[in-house]
Amino acid sequence: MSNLREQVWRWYEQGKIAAEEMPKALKLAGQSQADVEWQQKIEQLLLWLGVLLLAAGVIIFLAFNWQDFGKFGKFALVQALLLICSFSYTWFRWQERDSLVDGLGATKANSALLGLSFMIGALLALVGQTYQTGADPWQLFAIWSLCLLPLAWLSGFDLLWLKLLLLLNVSVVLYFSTWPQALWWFGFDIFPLVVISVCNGLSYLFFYGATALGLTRCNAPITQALTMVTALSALTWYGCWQAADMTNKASFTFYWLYALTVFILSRFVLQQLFPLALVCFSVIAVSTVWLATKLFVGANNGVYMFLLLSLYVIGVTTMASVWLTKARGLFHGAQADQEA
Amino acid sequence: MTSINRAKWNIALVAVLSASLLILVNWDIFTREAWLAKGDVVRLKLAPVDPRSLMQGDYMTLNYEIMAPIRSSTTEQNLDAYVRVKRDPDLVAQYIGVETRYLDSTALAENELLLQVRVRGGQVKLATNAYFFEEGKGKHFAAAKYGEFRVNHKGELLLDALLDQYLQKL
Repeated sequence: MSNLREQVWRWYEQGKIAAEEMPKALKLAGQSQADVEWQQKIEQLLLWLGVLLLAAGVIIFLAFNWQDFGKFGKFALVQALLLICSFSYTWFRWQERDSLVDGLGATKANSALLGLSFMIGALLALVGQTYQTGADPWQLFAIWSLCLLPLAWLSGFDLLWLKLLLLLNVSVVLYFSTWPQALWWFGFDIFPLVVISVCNGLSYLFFYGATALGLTRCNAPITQALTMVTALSALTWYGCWQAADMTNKASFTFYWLYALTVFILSRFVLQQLFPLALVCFSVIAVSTVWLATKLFVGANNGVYMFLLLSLYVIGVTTMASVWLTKARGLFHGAQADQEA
Repeated sequence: MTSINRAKWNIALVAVLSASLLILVNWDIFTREAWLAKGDVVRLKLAPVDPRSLMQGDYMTLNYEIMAPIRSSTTEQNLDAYVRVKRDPDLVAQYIGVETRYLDSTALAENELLLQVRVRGGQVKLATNAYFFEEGKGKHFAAAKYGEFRVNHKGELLLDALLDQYLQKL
């Protein structure tokens, strides 16, 4: 850790370490690297946990003492905490201005932003709860995610991006439960699944593109991975639904076209193993459901069908695993070539 | 940009964001308080809800008698409309009809009001469909017979209190 060496150097400049002791001090600073890293990691984890627990504590405190507080007492409490979070950000960001020039990632200042994001949500929910006008519930989450967008962009912090993604998905689901909609061959029930899959798929491309362009603000590996998991989970759910109920061939074809697009993109264009693995297992799940509905309709002896089905699952899963291992080797080879 | 300028810029952004959010929210609170203080009072009779689903933890499902004629007056799945009501001497609303747009006060007879109503997926939504209260207060609020609302100049409703059969606040 270079920080510790810098600290030693500062001590030397301040005259706290004699010149002849410097080699030894620097050596010690180098040796204790691992310890310091662990300490920092634990410190960060405790900080985030503290922020999360504090936010949860405030919300539970308000809910538990709902009648005892006056309307304005509740507003004052949440607004004061919001201001405290905002001021802590100012304080920490100023402290870290030289050590962390961009202020991106898991810094102390950004944990204050995480707290701020919770207080914004708490304040919006509190207003909605106090004046029960009966606004559509998706609006709360949509406004909250809108407020979160500048914070996530500013901090470049995975947890904030993750929260933004979560809120966006919740707003989409709530929106479609308020305004059920259908489009082309997607009925009321399945249209939200398609929208969630497409939105999260596009978010994945956004994060991938940003990382490829070196935009460190949008470097959020956990969020990026989860966008793909959400996109393909929604798609798999959609596919299984269509496979079990083959009344609309067009909507089942859409599943295959979508899966094929993800496959081609992740195999040949982006060369990413994670979406490739997910799309393989999605196809296995959907084809298994399809096969099961074919096998069990009019079957006399279900036990043999189960045997057949389990053999199919074991066979294709093994094939996919072997093939994915090969693909990983290919991707690593391509990467090494590029770097060389 | 130097590191100090960058830090200053970041801090300014968060400060502006927090300040504008607080201003907007407090302005919203202020207008709602004014609405509660000065809005027209209208009382809606509550319709009995299946007793098994009346109490769900710490909130009470609200259903209004007036929702039945609204539901039968339209076949639309999704609709934003206004219900025209006449207030009796107790300020309790009596159903007159459904209007698709907001009417000027000159078009309304004395003691008539327009209340915003929304139909979502065939379900009528009038003001709030639930009243939240502290855990354990269920029995106290079970006596509710009316909801007292304040109406603003756009026909929007804000729930002020629940009333018992003698129109006394609970």
